Amino acid sequence: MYYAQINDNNVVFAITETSEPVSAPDMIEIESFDTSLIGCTYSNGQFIPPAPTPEPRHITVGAFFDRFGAAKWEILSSTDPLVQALVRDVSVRTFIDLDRPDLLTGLQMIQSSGFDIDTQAIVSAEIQPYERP
Amino acid sequence: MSTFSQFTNGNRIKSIQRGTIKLAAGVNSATATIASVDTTKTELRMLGAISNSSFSVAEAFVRISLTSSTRITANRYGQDSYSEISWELTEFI
Repeated sequence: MYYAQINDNNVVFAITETSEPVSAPDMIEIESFDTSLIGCTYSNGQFIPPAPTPEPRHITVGAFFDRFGAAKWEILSSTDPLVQALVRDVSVRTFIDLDRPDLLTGLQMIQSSGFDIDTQAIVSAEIQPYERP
Repeated sequence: MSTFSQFTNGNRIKSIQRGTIKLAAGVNSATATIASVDTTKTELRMLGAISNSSFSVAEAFVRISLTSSTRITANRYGQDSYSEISWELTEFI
């Protein structure tokens, strides 16, 4: 006997092959050991697949600096203590998460230090394959 | 040459059950229901695990336990990513 077990939100979290029938309200009998049902929502006798999760918007540190465009070298060699701190902070990261809430604030701090960068474009531009970690 | 009986310590198999449990992000424990077994005569084996955690062993390392005659519980320390584990149990006569 094969069962899909659902949680309180009716989402399948376990697939089990038992040696005998099991009777429980959270155990839905299925035809085979189908682990692709994990994550599906059980509704009106149907297993509904989850919506695809968006791919993380991560880029390499180098790709992030490249997004500064013509201002890149000026920013990286800036003597402004605030800009230096931001560059150092970014440099020790494994990757840059473009959806991180404080990223835009950091870019705006660089902008307010007199550097001509397009903060929205840096954060929102489509990620190219070569930019990914 | 080894015989099947040696592998099972001379005991005969009464039942075999298997399954997969997913610990979704935000969850650090889940319990799967099984057909009733005698826990004193049952061996639970973890077959393997996968996780989308890149960095944290607290999320990728999962423990499974036969917590009662009808329950297998999987748990872990962290819960920022998902983990999925496969198990199999053998109940002897």
